Amino acid sequence: MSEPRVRRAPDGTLLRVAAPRRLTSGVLSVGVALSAACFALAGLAELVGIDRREAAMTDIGALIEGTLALDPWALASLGTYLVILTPAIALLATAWEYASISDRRTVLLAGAVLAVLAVSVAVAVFG
Amino acid sequence: MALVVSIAAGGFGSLVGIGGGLIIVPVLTVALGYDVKSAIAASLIGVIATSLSATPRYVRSGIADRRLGLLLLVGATLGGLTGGLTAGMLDGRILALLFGLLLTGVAIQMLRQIHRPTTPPPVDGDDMASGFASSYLEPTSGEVVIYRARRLAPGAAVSFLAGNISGLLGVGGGVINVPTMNVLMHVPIRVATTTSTYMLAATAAASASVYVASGQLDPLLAAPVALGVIIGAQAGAHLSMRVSQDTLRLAFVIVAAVFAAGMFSRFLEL
Repeated sequence: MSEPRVRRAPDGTLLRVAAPRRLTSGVLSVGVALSAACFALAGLAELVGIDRREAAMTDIGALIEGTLALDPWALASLGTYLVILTPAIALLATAWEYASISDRRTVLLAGAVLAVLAVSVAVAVFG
Repeated sequence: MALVVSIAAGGFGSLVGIGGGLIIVPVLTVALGYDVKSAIAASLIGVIATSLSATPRYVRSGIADRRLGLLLLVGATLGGLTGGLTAGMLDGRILALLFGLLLTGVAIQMLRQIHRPTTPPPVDGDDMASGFASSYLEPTSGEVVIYRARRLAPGAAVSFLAGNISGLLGVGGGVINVPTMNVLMHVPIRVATTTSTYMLAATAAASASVYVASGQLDPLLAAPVALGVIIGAQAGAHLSMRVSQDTLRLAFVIVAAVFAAGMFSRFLEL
């Protein structure tokens, strides 16, 4: 990757070329819409009286099984996971967008933040 | 009940520009009787959801400075992770005391801002191609505003602190990030608020995973909180144009004083 591209403003000032934004904003919008849908479904399932099991959130087997059975706990857990994962996916999208304009430093920063998020998951699971 | 309370908290938080966490945690704890740690964990999911729902607009418009946000996020996410780990080791009463102190501090800051104009954005005419310099289109005037973020190292250090408080107490951290960027780093207020919102999701995600693994996050509480905050924040954003900011700040000071008293009494186990 080379140095970031620049453009010259009408008054002669050098400005950095802006990175594309559509992928990041799209990931964020889809993530929030999906998680809100899961939360709303969980509320509806609770209202109509579908039984809930309430296992640990880390029990992925129970989560999948419960989601298929429209269990309120499982749907709420799925929505919660989507909320937590969306920022990480958006960071990947941001890194991709900055890579497309050869802004190596910003790609490295996005990678560093992703690394901290990965460490937080590792600490949470194994720590 | 948590849904109704979260709609109100999200709306009020959006009206005064502080996010919902500062209201949700004391409401869930003091008014609805939830455990402090469960309230903090649920609030963090609300913080992420609020950030996710507002950020696409800010990113699309180019006002949120993602490059600066990513630089500050390195420290903020580390702070969020350590805050989440520390919260697991502290007694709920200590967390209630810390929350009461934070509410008092923010209320004093709000009180001092009443009748005080917002700091004008600094403009720099230097070469903007290098460093953390950027520009954005100011929607109210239609002008391109050029700025350069300064004091990056102290700014990153304060972001670590903001992330730590976010993970420890389940709040967004915007009450620290926004003045840091605006006053310390000379970033225009509009960029500071939108960049702070952009940062909140990743910061809170770093600590939320710790709460998930420790079993302190109840998804059946987090779901209505997140949904309520999203709905409330959207409604608050529309209403904010019709109410004076000074009136809102005064209302926040009164509400914060009541909840701070509630959190202090929780600490004293009255």
